[in-house]
Amino acid sequence: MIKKYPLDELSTALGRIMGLLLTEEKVDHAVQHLSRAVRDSIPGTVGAGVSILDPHARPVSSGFTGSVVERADALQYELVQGPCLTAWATQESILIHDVATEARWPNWSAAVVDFPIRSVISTPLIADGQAIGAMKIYAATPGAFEDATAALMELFASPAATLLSHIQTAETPERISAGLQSALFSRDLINRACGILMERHTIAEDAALQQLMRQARATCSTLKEVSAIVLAGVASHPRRGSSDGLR
Amino acid sequence: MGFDSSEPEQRRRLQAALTAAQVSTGDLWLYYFGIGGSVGEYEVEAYLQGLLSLPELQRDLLAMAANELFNDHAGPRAPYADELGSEDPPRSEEP
Repeated sequence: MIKKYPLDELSTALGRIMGLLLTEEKVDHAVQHLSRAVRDSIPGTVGAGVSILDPHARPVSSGFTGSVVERADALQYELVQGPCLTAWATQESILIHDVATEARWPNWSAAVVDFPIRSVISTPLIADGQAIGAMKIYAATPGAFEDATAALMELFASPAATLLSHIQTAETPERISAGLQSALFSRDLINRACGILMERHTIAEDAALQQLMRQARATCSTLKEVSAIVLAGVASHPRRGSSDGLR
Repeated sequence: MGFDSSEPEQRRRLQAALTAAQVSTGDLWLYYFGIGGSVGEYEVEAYLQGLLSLPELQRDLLAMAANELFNDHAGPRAPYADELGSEDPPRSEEP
């Protein structure tokens, strides 16, 4: 489900200008390549996957080396439990020696019992202190991985998370949208207040803005606040004539 | 093309305030844009580096943006042009 934000197109456009966004296609490519690189680099691995999650633990972008990994991963989100979700939530790597005897995620372990998956490592992708997803590797035999393997995964995860955090498609527009929306709103407000002062005092745009700035500094208010007062003054006197005392 | 005599000082203190409050140029620019600033982010970056001169109104708007942004911060404020004595000689570059 894709949530639409107001100003979505504008913020996406701005994100592209700021170089923060790549296309969804490129993100999917990146996580796909990363999962292959992880599988090929870590001995004993038969499958690997990389998932980027939104703040509600829903996957927004995923790459897998095979359908078994994809299915095992999808089951975690369906059952709302599993090593990747725990790694993501606790920001710590999870090592499973044998899925068959693993008791921490009973529903998930039961669901994947027939899969060629016995050993698992799941490592969180952490960028700027925030978990943005998880990387996982699977092996068909129990006890295939050890703590040193998890450390190796973490070496991969750190730069990958930093890079991936800049190419997330779902989060970035939301982040930009909030800032941009408030910037456009206040710019509009201030410009309207300038327009009122220009007409009222027959002054140029810069002079009107300077007047608002002086007012803000004198009253320890923000520029937005003094502009809002100017606008409120007009709104409350919709029919005031040229003889009122405000001129 | 020279700088206004107070410009290097104003820029330097804006830079110091930004550093103290850990505000990025991007965040400063977006806020400055939001209060009516008319210069692009690239130019603001160049101004902060001392590579470009900006008109007084835009410099003051940047100062105001910075001050409003770190309103609840105890760190240094960014000064406005009329708060700086224009008598100090234009400085070249700080080390």
